[in-house]
Amino acid sequence: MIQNSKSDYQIAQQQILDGIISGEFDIENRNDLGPLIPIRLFQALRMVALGSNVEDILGQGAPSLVYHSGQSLGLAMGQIAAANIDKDLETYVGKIKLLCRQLSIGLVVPDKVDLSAGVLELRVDECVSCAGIHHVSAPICHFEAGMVGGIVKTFFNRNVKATETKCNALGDKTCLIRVDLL
Amino acid sequence: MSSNVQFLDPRKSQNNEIDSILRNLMNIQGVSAAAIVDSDGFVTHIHRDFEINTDAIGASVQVVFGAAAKAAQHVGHHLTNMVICENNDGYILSTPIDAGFILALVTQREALLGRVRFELKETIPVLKKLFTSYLAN
Amino acid sequence: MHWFESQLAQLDTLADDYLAARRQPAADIVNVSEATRLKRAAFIDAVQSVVDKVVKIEGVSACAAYHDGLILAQSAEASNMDADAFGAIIQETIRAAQHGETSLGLGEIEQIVIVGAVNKLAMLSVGPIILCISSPKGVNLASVLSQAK
Repeated sequence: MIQNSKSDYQIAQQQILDGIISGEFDIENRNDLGPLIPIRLFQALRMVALGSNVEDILGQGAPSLVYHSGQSLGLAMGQIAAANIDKDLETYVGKIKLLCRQLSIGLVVPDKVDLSAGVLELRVDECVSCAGIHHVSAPICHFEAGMVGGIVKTFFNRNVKATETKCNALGDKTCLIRVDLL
Repeated sequence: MSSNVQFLDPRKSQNNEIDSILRNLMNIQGVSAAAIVDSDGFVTHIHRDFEINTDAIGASVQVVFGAAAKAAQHVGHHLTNMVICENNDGYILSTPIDAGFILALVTQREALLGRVRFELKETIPVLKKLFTSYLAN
Repeated sequence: MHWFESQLAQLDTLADDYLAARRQPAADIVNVSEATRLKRAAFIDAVQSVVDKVVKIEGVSACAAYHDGLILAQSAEASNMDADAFGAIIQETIRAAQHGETSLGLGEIEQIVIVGAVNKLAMLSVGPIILCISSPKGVNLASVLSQAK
């Protein structure tokens, strides 16, 4: 008998990523409601389920988990974008921008690319996680930082450290993610 | 408004002292990896004698330490000074440094736990002082 | 001073050196900590060396050193002993004995000996660690340790 070694979450993850790769955003069993959800529901999942609730259990470990989760998505998105582009950075960034727009993650804009210094800065305007959130004391988009880190890591095939240095929820009007190539 | 994130650039030469401390920890019998993990679970410094998925171990160390520290708070134990995972093939010891950074040691089973813990306890005050000065600059 | 006494005296000196280094003001944290680390390493190496020698003495069945009840040094020959059980007993015993420090006016605990019907266990405080020596009940530990070379 063939053993299924994947957990149920991994099975669901595969199906979700396959859906993203296909570019087909219609979804079965949502005939009336359709594929879109209110942003506040996403934010509830992100800031409550994967935020304060995780923090209740993991304390200071919560941002790591969220960063790591975002990185996993970023790695998957990077693989989608890296297909058939012959390592062209401009094309890669274009595909990432399109993907982030299609998924309503945010409007990704490269702000600074200094490959000799090994530093990239990407803006995420209209960030899905923190839009409409104010008065926090530190950047809160660890998921997006991890995602951008995963995207950059995939293209350069190098370890990276992504840090959110500006956050809309801090009053910065945009989220800025600095990526250091290591 | 500026960010208050703490960023320690692992490429900078000012971290030679940290590397030297990790190297010394690696010299203890049975220690197979010594790493510093930042608050995002990113491994900023590592010495090891086997291959490790640094992304995964960094996040796991933070998650395990965070969960243990939370559990300690729930039972009124206040601050957590060290988390020791006893595994089939060795130990993982995690100790907080400063600003969310954690020092993690991985050992083989033959490591003498008291020896490793003793050294870790003696090393942490030094790392705390180094980090305080680095993060202030 | 017999052999074991001289070994203990040497360990005490190294422990004092180390503890003194630890107390030094640390303006130059890197160099001071390196000096302290070297003193610590000298002390622990000496502890390991004593453990290795003691366990070879005829009549001694096990020897190990502990810090906070966790194993810090043991001889290769004694690696099959239950280090955790030893550690637990040491912690319990030291804690109980420490009650006597003040209530009985014993002063700081230096040695504890537990004699069972089969074996005996001696615990000696050296700086921050406890040196632990076990032998069959019939062995005169003080005598075999003093006569060793």
